[in-house]
Amino acid sequence: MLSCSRSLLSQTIKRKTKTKAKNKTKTRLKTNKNISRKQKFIAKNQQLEDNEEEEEEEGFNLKSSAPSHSHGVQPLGNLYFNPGSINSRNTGLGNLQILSDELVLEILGLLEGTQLGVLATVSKSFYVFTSHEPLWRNLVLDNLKGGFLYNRSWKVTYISTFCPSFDVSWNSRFSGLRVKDFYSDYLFQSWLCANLEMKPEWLERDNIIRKRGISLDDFVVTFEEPNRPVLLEGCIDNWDALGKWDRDYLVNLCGDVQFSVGPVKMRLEDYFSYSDQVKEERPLYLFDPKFAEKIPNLGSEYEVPVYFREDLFSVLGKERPDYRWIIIGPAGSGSSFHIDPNSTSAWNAVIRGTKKWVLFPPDVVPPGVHPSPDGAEVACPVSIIEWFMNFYGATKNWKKRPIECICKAGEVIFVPNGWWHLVINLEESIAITQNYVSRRNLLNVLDFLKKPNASELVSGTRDRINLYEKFKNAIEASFPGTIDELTLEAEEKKAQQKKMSFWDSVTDSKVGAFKFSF
Amino acid sequence: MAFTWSKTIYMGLDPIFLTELSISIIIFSTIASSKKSRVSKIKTADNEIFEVEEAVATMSNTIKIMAGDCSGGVIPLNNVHSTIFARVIEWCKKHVDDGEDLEYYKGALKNCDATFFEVDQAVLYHLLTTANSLDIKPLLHQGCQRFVDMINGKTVEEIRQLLHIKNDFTNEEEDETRKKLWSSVVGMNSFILL
Repeated sequence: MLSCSRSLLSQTIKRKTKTKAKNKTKTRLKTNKNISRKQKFIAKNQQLEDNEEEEEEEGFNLKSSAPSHSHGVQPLGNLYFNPGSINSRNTGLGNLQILSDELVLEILGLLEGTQLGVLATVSKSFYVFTSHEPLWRNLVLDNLKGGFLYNRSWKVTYISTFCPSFDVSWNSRFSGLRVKDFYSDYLFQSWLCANLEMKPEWLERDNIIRKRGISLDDFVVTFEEPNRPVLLEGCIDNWDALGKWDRDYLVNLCGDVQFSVGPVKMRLEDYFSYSDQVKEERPLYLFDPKFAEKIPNLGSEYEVPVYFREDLFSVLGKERPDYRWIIIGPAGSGSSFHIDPNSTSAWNAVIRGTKKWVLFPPDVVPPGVHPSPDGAEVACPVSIIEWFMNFYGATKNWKKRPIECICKAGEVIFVPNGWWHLVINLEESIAITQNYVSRRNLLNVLDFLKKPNASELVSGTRDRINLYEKFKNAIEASFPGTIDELTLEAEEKKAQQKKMSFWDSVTDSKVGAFKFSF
Repeated sequence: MAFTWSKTIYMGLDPIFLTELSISIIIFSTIASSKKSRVSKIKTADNEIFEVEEAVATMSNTIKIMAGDCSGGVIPLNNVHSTIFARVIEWCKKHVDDGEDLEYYKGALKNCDATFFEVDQAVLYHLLTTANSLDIKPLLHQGCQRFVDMINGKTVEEIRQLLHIKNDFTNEEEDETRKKLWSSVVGMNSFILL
């Protein structure tokens, strides 16, 4: 799915597996690996019926404001229902029809607004293609950066900015030209993902451990050391932010200050006026690592919960990597699967709103995610909603099930280092998150920074390559002997574990003998 | 050997240095020739085999990955025809030293590519599809740019003729669109459908 990156090509492979998997979601077929051609045909028919159901059930699956594709685009499967029907996608593209949808969009991605406008009138097919919102989003962000004022859609935003004399107001009643006989899996799926709401069955599982008022020691022993996630209740009750941070307060407080939003920077008020209106697959997400430096009040109205106060990167002072972010976004925004940088652990506190979390342990790669062998890249993971549509179902039958939860205002989730995680906001949310290094994962972090491809993997700081040396030296300076101590402890533990398994086996054999003697 | 030595002494060059130098030259040329001999064997869909320098072939990320899997064997490309592949390789040979920075390829077509892209539309589109499936981003980018150049400045009717498209808007729909006239910022007459 096209998002803020101009290239769709990395999505090409994903696209093929997606259409197969899409057919799987609503059918009784157990695996899609061995689907024969005939079964695929049946699957597509069922998909069609289900789509029709989906479209008619208002507010259940689709956002009620979008009962069907605004231009009438249908998935390719529907074409099978109308044998003899022509796909106006092809006739309207002429010589270009042999190109895939992604390639057509790749070409259109090079055009300016005027050129897109001209093409839009060539044929109905071009009209549909050139209406693809991500194209206009790129044009707006490239030309206006964060200085845009979102107006109904990216296309209208572009026109109202660059052609202010053009009257866009009459268009509010007219939702666009509807095209018959246009079939395209890619464009249909793109629209579907932008308009789908989270299904209840995706939100049912909540198997995280919840704790309230545990001691720091308990936390370290039960969760931090064994590297397990936990949801902590009640530990941010004393935050000023909980009572104070609502929209009006924040907008007044932040005024014209620019916050990091994806590839651009925006005023908070402008961001809210975007997030109120937008309906897209990957909404722009406000994720700023310098919020406390920009607005000191924001920094003083929260404090780090007691469990996470050991913060060893602080020895680097101003040279430390980015470590804390304010996160604001509408329903549907979030982060697709990733592992946090530099092998750090993290905590995430929800101040307003609700977040759905899905976590996998470090050794379990989530379905649908393809990290490169050196871990430097995660092959452009599918969008959040597409992951739920196509891959969430697979986790139900896996032995290694993910940890899931819904985190509400006032709750804090602990994300242990190395864990894969995905987050989606179920409503507009405001949260604070910090990454940190404590003694428990100091050695892990040093190992990570030592890696030969550190310059690609290490993030959040300008001076990537020297971070290992700097950090190590700074730790030695502030906490002399700690690294050696921890290394010794780790080696002892390993030796003990080996010993234990030996004794375990001895005990077992005793038990066996005991039973046997009966 | 003795003759050579005496010659070098005569020329004032330290014979030991010269021996070391000649050994280095021998080693270097061995390495160089072994690099040259690193050739990828690629088989296209119509069973034609291409022997291509590895550096050229691996401009395609797809081939790079497959080479890793095939370890020295023949790399099969099951959906690329030899005629198109030959052209792709021709382009890659020209650009093998241009580095991987995509920024270099953005903007107008490179002069050296002008003639390369003067081809039939059918060939161009096959080039695009092949560049995509072989994951050669610079070639894909240049190919798309070529298409953009082709349609730039053309009127709607001219584009339809170029791409063999029949106008499929009904009269009603066209009236609607003409209502929404938008004089573009560049001064070109164009209109946009909302």
